[in-house]
Amino acid sequence: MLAGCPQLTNDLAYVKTQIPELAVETVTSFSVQSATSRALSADMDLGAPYLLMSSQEMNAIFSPSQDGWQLFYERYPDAPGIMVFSRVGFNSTGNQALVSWRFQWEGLGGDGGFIVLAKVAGAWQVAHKVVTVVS
Amino acid sequence: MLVACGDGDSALPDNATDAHAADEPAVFAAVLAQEYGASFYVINDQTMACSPDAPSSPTTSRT
Repeated sequence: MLAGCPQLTNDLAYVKTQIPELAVETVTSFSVQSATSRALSADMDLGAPYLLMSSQEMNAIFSPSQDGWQLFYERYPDAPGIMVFSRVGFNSTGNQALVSWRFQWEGLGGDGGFIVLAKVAGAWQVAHKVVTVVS
Repeated sequence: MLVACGDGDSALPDNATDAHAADEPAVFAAVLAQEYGASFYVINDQTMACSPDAPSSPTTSRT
């Protein structure tokens, strides 16, 4: 159990019931990594261009005095919304990964949850997705 | 190092949990390409940390 993170503990227990092949060590690694936030690097190869947005910029865009999503899509017309990732948990052999995500788009739309990936022939493939947040 | 947010059972040494950290961008890239397929992304510059207040309303889909 993650004593300070009851919601995450509950979510991970649920995810494990949905994905029996999810290794305990992958979940443990994820739990450890998820304890703290980390700054992402601007030079990651994500296969597509991206912008890292700070909380300060988000607060400026989504201030109560303006239509934040209109401003967001004016500035970033090709972006479908705003993605947030967790750190990634891996098994010891490095061929299974667990990551959590939240994706928010215009208005109150959004989803999020947990994705388990398998490394096949050197490439990560989404194997399972468990949605825990829908709005 | 033990992790402040976890209990003793879930703590691992840094060198064990970080052994595959270099693969994190490839994992993010796979999620973006296979789940969203957009030509451009805006991503929060900080990763999520565990939150006692995070909402949850489980529904499940499998790919």
